[in-house]
Amino acid sequence: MNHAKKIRELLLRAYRPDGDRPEPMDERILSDANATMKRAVTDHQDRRRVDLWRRIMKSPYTRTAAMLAIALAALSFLFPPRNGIVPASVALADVQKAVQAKETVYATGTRTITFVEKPTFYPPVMAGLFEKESNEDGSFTLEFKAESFLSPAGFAHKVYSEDGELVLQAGIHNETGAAIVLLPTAKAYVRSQMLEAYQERMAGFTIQGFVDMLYRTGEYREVGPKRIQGVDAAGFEVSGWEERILEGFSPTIIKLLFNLEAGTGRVWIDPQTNLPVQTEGEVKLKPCVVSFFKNADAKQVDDNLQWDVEIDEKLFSPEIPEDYQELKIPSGTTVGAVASGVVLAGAAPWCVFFVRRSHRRARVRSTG
Amino acid sequence: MRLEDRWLVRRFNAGDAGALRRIYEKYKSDLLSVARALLNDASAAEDVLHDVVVSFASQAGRFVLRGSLKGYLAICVANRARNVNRQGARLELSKRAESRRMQADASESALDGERRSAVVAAMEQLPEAQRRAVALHVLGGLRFREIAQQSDESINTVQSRYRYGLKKLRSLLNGQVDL
Repeated sequence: MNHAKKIRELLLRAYRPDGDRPEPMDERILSDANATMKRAVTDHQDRRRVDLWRRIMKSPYTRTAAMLAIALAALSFLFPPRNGIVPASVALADVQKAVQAKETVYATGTRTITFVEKPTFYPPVMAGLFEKESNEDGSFTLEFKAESFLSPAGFAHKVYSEDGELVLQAGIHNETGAAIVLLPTAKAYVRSQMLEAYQERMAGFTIQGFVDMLYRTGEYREVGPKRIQGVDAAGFEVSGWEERILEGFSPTIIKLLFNLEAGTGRVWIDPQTNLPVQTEGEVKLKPCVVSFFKNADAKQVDDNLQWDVEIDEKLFSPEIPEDYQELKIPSGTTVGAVASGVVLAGAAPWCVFFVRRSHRRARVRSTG
Repeated sequence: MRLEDRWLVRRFNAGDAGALRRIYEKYKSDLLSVARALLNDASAAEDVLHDVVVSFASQAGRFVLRGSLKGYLAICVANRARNVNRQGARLELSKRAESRRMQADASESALDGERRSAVVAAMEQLPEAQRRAVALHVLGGLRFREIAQQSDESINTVQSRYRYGLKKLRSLLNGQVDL
């Protein structure tokens, strides 16, 4: 053996641990490294999601789709059949008649979304919503207050944060088909024209048609009675509406935007007036854009319904502040169509009460 | 080897604890040898190994393997050991005492106490750059090209340092150890 080899041998024998036996330091090092690795992977995934979000927001096309999806989430997935006139063998005709006798309705209520865990993937402008702590069980809840306005002229919706800050305002003008969504926290707005096909589809919604849809697709049952606002309200519950409400839209895009799993809606009717006094809806969301890619339960309750109140029609075409940035929708795109359709889907349950009446009145005007 | 490392790195980037353990167990012996040779302090060597492994773990999810994984980790150990040495936080006296303890603790190595003491003392006398080249090549098992690439030095420089280091070790050990 030459000198170099001999020295190398000596070095190896001097410094090499005697065998690869486990040492106490091994577990300490691996434990610390494991914890660091888990954190790093999570952080990296979060960063990638934020980056993904930024990329989405940089693309005019996808930005619009994503923003619309979020904006319309409040309109749509929190809008189960709501006043969705649930068929009741004894009261259906009376309820229909009572509702159709009304010109307008104003409703207030709450929208609650409970995520299985705190979302980490959301647009930077929405970061404020996610600053609060998670619930004790690790879930995370967002609560909003909502106002809805409906008349034959259109549909409007306002969503407020728990602090009372307006986070979303939407208006749809029935005559022009224009839909405007304002996002005050982002100082942005979306202006969309409902495609003719969807306007036609909207016009095709009648209360009878909607009831037929529920008959065909959802199993309904009588619930209650329940004491609500001083009356023993009769309740009707419908489930399985979630697929039908989005029927006709691209399943791939819908699943990306609104991955609905199961929805249940209830309406409580005052037997004295045959008018709804409270509506409730719950829907389970699988990971998708509007659930910020988490499993979530969304719940809506409208417990203050005022009929035949005066509604300012400007609400259906909300004024856009000068400093708001427009998120443009590429004209004629599928996304635009879907978005308009989703607006329609969200508004439809309300509109069914009125569209038929407005058409009837239009016919009366035209013949007069 | 490379193939396995690439697979391990892919699993590691996905947060696989098993992959991290396998990487650690695979290279622990080499890395610890390099750290001991450069620090002559068993506990400091363990600390350096700890820091390097944790630092490596902090790159999970975004670690890109260029060259060999062992080469990367060994150079990290050598760099950190150099920083520890330069910090001078540890008193020279305690270093000497630890060195003597290491020398006396013949049970830790396959070499008897006297010869081991001579080898450790000789290594201590090498200039840092030469000691680094010797430790990485002999104890870390890195090729000169790999050391040069990872250290951003020329291969000739690394080879020269290694040759001078070995020559000096030979002269230092001559007479004390049967060569």
